[in-house]
Amino acid sequence: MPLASQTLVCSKCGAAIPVEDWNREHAFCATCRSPHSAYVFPALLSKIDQASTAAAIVAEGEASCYYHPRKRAAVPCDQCGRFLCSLCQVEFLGQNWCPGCIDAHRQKGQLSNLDASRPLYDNMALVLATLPAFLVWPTIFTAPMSLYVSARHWRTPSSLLPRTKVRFYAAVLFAVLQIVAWIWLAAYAIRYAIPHA
Amino acid sequence: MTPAPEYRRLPGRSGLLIRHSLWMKPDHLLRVRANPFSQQYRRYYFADIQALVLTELPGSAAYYWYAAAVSLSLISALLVNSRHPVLGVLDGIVAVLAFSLGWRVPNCSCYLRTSVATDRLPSIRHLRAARHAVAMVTSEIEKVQGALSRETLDAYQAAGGSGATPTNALLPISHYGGQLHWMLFGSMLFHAAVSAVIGIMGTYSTPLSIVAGASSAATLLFAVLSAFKQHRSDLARGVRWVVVSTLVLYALDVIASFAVSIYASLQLAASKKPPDAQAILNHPAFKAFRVFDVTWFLVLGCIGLVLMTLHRRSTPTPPPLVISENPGIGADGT
Repeated sequence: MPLASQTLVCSKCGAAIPVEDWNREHAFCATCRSPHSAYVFPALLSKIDQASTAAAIVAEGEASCYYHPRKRAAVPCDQCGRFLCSLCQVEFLGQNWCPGCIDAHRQKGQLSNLDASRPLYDNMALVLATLPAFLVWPTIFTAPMSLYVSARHWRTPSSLLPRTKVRFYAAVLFAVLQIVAWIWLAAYAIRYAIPHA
Repeated sequence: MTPAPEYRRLPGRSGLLIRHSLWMKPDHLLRVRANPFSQQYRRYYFADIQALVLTELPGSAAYYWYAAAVSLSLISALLVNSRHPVLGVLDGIVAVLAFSLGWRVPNCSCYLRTSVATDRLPSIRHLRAARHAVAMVTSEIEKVQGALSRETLDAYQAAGGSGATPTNALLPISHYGGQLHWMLFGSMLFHAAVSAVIGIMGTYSTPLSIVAGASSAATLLFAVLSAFKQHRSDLARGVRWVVVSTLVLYALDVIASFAVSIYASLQLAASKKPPDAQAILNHPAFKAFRVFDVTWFLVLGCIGLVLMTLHRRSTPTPPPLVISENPGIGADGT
């Protein structure tokens, strides 16, 4: 059963968009007169298959679902081969998966298609290498931190979107420059400033 | 093994620190919400998308920013002309900023519907990019689901599908008598009168200036409150437009007042005259501004009062509330 009624609403005033205006260019909201376009696809009119929630009870001699022994098996999992009823079958990446395989692959980080978020370590390293430089003294801590983050996460999968490693390169460059500057300053102080003092 | 196809970027982007964007693969759409240190994803498989709704928004806030940008550019030109190039350049930068803020005001809104959720697509904010993005997504969805013909929709409607008549989901419109509007238009006329008196007197008077400032502030307050109060009310459209025009003209008036004051002060300073209040009042530019000020307050105040009177005549007065003498349920529930 669909969870929401098949009603589309104007996003400005919330009034319903009549069926006559679906898939029609240059329609106007009957309430607020805002021009709108409602693009409707066959999925809106099709009912969700209710058989999947009521799989048949297994008869004697028939294969049953691995997770529901009383349900009739419909397909095998393409990863582990376990028999699955239509309730447990998940179509994903063009294959049939069981929930256990999806969970296992996800925990191993092998299913990037299921990631809901990704940290951007290259941005973190770059921020650590650049922003504290305005205050100068924090760089004594943040430059090594930036180097550590860059080294630790150089091969960690970054964004799902196309992204280069240029931020990591920039972070390493800035961090190394800052560390060299601190070393030079320390050497200068030891050689000249402290003996004079 | 062939590598997985990379995401393709769809037109449209929003936000500065928190950025939204839309990406696409052959089988799904990816909505990305990114802050500087992480990205959050939401996938919509083309087989699951039921509808996309694109609504044009008025985008009237953009015109405020454009008006501010034009006024600031004018001030900038005046400053440069008065041999204050540094201030002029700074002012020009602010004008460019105002223009860019106006450019960023959204003029459309788009949401996507699946069988389990209806989500807004925040990256689609401008109509040109929106039409391009929607066309790309629609073609991909139709590759997966096929197209929905007009005949199918007509048959669906004839079969009684979707009770989406235009009236069954209307938002309630409340009745509002317009008390704040009466006060607004009254205060506008009062302010016009006080300003006219100051202009006719031609001499600086502290009490009158205080009264003029107070009436101007009251007008702004009433205008803002009226704008909020008239939202989704049954007030006449003309009255609502007068309130909106008042707010726009008020903003322009403040900017123009600032510009004229600076211009007059700089001119007086250049001519070695002490720039006191009286001298500024007698400056021709300031006199012209005062005429403009009095005129628009007077005209809009009069139009507002006339429209309010017409609106009150056309709106039937509800019968007085009759209090029943039957005792109701008391506080003790008896």
